[in-house]
Order: sequence, then C-alpha cells, then structure tokens
Amino acid sequence: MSDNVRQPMLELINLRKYFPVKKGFFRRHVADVKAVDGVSFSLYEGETFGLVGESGCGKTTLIKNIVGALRPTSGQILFTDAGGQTHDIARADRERIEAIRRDIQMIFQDPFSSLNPRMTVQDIIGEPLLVNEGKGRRASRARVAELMELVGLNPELLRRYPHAFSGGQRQRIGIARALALDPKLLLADEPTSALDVSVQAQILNLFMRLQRELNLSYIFISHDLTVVQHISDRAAVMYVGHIVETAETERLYVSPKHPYTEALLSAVPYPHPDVKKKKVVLKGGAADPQLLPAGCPFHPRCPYVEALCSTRFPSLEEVTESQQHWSACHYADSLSLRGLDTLEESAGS
Amino acid sequence: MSTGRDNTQHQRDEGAEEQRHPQGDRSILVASQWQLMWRRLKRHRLAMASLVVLFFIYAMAIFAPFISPYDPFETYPQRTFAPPQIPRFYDPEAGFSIRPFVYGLTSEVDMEARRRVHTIDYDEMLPLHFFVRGEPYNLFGIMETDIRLFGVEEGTAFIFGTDRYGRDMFSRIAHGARISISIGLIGVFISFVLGVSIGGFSGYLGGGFDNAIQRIIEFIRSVPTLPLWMGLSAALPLHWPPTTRYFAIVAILSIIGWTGLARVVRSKFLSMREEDFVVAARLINASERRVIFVHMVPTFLSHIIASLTLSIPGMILGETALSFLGIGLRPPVVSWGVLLQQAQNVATLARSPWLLIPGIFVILTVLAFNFLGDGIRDAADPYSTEGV
Repeated sequence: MSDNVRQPMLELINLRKYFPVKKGFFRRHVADVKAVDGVSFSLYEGETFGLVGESGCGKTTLIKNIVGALRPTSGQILFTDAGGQTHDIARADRERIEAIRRDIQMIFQDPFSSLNPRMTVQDIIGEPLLVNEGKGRRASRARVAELMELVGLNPELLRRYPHAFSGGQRQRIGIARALALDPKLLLADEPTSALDVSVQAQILNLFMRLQRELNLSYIFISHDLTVVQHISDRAAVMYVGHIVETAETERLYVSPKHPYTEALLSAVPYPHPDVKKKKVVLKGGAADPQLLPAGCPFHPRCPYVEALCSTRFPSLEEVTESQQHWSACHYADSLSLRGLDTLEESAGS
Repeated sequence: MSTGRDNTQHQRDEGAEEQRHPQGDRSILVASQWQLMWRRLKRHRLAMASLVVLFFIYAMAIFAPFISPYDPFETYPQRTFAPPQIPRFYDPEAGFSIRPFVYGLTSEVDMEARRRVHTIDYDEMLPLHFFVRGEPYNLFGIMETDIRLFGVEEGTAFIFGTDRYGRDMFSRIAHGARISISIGLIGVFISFVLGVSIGGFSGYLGGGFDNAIQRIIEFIRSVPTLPLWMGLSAALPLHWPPTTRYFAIVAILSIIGWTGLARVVRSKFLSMREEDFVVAARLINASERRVIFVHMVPTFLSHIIASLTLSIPGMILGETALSFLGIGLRPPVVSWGVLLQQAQNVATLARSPWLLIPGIFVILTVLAFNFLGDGIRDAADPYSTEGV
C-alpha cells in the first residue's frame, strides 16, 4: 500500500524519550525510565498506522512526542507539511511547534476527562478557532455546526454541556475539536477503548469515513488487536519502548515474525463458544523500563529463548522471506509462528 | 453511504439520551456546572438550613442598630444583671394574646448580699410593639432615624437580660456580630489572596520554589497556634485605636489561615496540569494564561469556595478566643469574644447564666459555616453520585 517513491509525511528516526528518576533531598539523578527507546518508523499520506502493545509500553509517550507535548531525549521527528517543507519536531521552537500543531492533532482515550466540563460544546469545538484564528462565538458558529454535522452530531445541541452526552457522543465532540483546524494527521490514543463495543464500531466507522472524505492520515494506538486489524494499513507492535515487529497489517496478523506478536495474537478471542484456542501464555510481567534485561528485552518471557537472546540486542531488521516486514528477533527467519488465520483454521477443523 | 449510517446512529444515541433523563427535564442538558452545583446544594437540607441561619445572622449584623431595641452602650443602673424577659403570648389571667408581651421586673437591693435582686412581676404585662420610636441612631452613617424593630412603650424589655452595667445583652450581641462576623470574612479574604497566589505559583512553577514554599508552610503549621497568636497580639501597642487593633488581629489570624488554602490550590494545580482537557487545550495552542484562567482555575474554584467557607469558623473562633483572654479586641469595642469575657467569673456566671448567650451565637455561626462548607464541597464534587 505504501509507495516507496513517495516521501513519508512523518518519519521517526531513532526516537528516545527517557524520564529521569530523581531521589533524595538533592534530587540526585539515579536512573532513567526508558519509555521510548530507539523507535523508527515512517507514515505516508492517507495511511493508517496502527500501534499495538500492552499498557505502559510507551505508546502514549511516543505520540505525545509527536504532537510536541513532550520533548524527546534524542532522535528526530521529521514532519513534511503541505508545502513540502520538512521540519524536525524534536528540535522545533515553540512558534514552529504551534504552526505544526495545526496539521497534527490528538484524540484522547477518555472522552470524559478530555472535555472541559465547564464549557459548552460550541465553546469546546470553537476553541481551536478562537485561539488560532481569533474567531469568536459568532464568527465560528457556522464552522462549528459544520464540524458537528461532519462527525455525526446534531448541530442543534451546541449549547449543551458535555455532561449531557454519552461516551460515544463525547468522543465525537473530541474528534470535531481535533478537526477544527483542518489537520493532516490525527494521532488517536486508544480512542475506542473507553467505549461500549457497539459504540466502538460506530467510532471506528467514523474514523474511516473521515479519512476518505478529508484525506487524513492516522496513527492509531490500541491494545485491542482486532481494532487495529480493522482500521490500519500497516501496524507495529511495541514492547517496553521498542518496536519489535512492523509490517502491513494483513501480513503481520497472518504470519507474525516475532514471538511477542504471536503471543498477543493468540490472546485474541474467537467469537465462537465451541472454539478452544491454544494460547501462548507468557511467563511473568512486562519488563521494567527502568531495568531492562540485557540482550533482547523480551527474552525472559520468550518461549523460544536461546543463549544468544540474553546477550545480544536484536535490532529491527527486514525479514528475508517477506518484504516490507521487519522484526527484532534473532530467529525471525527460522521460527515458524502462528498467526490469526492459522489459528482460526485449526480451530475450525 | 456510511454518512447515512452514521446519522441513524446518532439518532439512536439521541434516543438513549432521552432515556437518561426520563423526567423530560431538558433544562439540565444546557445547565452549566454552577447551575448543577446549585441544584445539588439545594438538596442538601442541612446546608440550606445553615444558609438561612447565616442569612439571619448577617442581617442582624448589618441592621444591628435597627434590630436592637437599645443603644449597646446605654446603661440602666436600676437593672444590672437583669434576667432575660422572655417574650410570651399567653398569660394565665389575660389569656392568649396575638401581640407578644414581656413581664415587667421589680428590682430591689439586697443589703446583705449588696447586690440588686430582680423578680418577675407577673401582674405587669408590657406589650411589645414593632417599629417603635426609641433612641435615635444613625443607620449606615447616612440615615438619621429613631425607628427600631421592636420595643416597649414604657418600662424595659431586655429579652436576653443585661450585663453588670445594666446594658441590654441583645443589643450588644447584635452589635458584636458586626465585628465577630466581619473578622471572619476579612480574614478569609486575606488568606484567600495569600493562599491562592502563593499556592498557585508553588503548584504551577514546581521545582525548587515549590519545595521551599512547602517547607515554609510546614514550619508555620508546626508552630502552636494559640501561643503564636497570643505572643503577636500581646505585642500590639496598647495605644492603637480600636480600628487599627481590629485589622492587626485580622492580620494575625490570617498568618496561619493562608497555609491551608495554599496547599489546596497547589495540589489542585498539580493534578489539573495532567488533566486530559488541559493537555488538549495546550495542544490547540492555547496560551498559558488561557490554560490557567479558562481551564484550570474555574475547575477548582468551587473547591476553593468550599475550603474558604470551612476556614471562616476558625477565624471567628480565633477572634473569640483572643478577646476572651483579653488580648484581642478590648472594650469599648463590642464583639462576641469581648462579651464572653464577662462570663469568666464562675460566681457571676452562676447567678447570671444569660451572659453565655453570645457563646450560643458563636457556636451557631461556626456550625452553620461548617455545614454549609460541607454542602458546597459535596455539591462541587463532579463525581458525586447523588443525581445531577
């Protein structure tokens, strides 16, 4: 789907974000929490890039770096705007970041805490216009109504406060606010995980419709693999601050090349009561990003662990047998791992 | 195609919305947070009762000269330590009367005990009249008048009794309310200004400044309150006029008062900074000033009001305690604490227990502020489950 000739709209190069841990009266620097540790990927225009991983693996930190809410410790975030100019968000000054934010907006996970309870819907959706374009209530009314229509809300409700809306409607309000400045790229931080399953589907469909109508690009974070499978063109799996595998979504799900991906996929529930799936149950919990194990960060939990894994760090490398498919496993080429389809087939027989 | 589907979907959402508010009360949907808070507060019976009590106490303070039948400094030498003449509606002989009345007093001097003895004269009924002409006074310094809320045409009516100089306790309590109650408001206002600005900077800037401020607050709070107040007020020059002394006492009470508020404001700032909608506001390029004053401050303003309400009683009690001990305000200034000074002597108190009535007003006011503060705090909590 991605075309190599095209220039990526967003390119992350070896991005790191460490949070220092300070102790004692003199705030001595004792350690770092490596929330994002050397992440690289690129995103093309009109594309949806899914990011999966368990809680605390650095997904949210990663996108907060991209919108300039956090400063990366090192690395580059190259963003190419509509005029073809490329900016490094990691090193941009405040003015530049403010300009870039008109193109990159974020959608929050919790639709209840992401809207100011003291503002009406009109003021919430109109705030980006007020702040960036100096448009007051009257000047922005038509645009706000248009945005509400666009996300499937009744524009007559613009005088209501957020408490008068359901979770799904609030998430639509959040999306309308993010769209107010006509961004090119939306970063969605688990936008459906706080919603009921039936509402999740509506919001996902809304995302897909908006992408078609407005030619948006998405980075879509979720810990729900089926959601990412449904919406993404390409996907990446993160584990304690590292991307361990990335490929086109279909390829990643059908033939994973990293044991962690296999374990995640085996945990996807299959909606049939008679089907008993064989799950790959991992030992222990996710590694502590403050004290990463030597070698491959996944090796203490990996069912296929070899001697090499505890000594050498595996970098993300293209798998020989399948193109555009990268895996951070020393044995990516030799292991035969089970993906979603194979699991379903074996379950069906 | 999918637009159509989305639209039916949104109508279905609408339907669900109607079910959430089955009473059909649609005004709630466009109600602001303040309106919602007021609705919740109205359900809090104790808080509403307290609000009424406070309304009457403040009305009493504001209209003290009008409400009190006598001048607070007017002495009645024949009527020292007179017991309360309680307003009544029923007399065994005359029967029920719509107009309240008080019984008269006969006073004679007990030569052995060398004091005045008052006995209630059940034959003398003094009807209470409303809006009677009494001593002239000046209301708010603009209106010269002699109309008082109630009084008797002949004789005297001391409904709360008199003190040792024969001054009407009710009139003195009404006038004392002005000082005692305003000291709470002014003190809290000073604490508010100090607490919000220092706490706000502390929470907003964080780091070393925050650290230093927090240690200073801990130090101030670790100093025992009463000795500090006593030391400071004992150091006030005696020749200061009453007004200066009044403001000095307020300042002394506020020295401690601001620390609690500063902590509340600081912790709110710290927690609000990470709130999603605050981050969202930053991401749409809202200026720091806008983020603070449009998004953060209004969100915790209600909590500040609640903790302000809860800190007024401390101020009132502080003033009362200092004046009671004789190091706060002094006669001729009238405050509830000054009035209670007379109740220090057990022998006097045993003979004239009505000298404790100012204490009842202190307790009433303090309780009312506490209940009201609790009610506001509950109403301000967006996570409260008791209906909207």
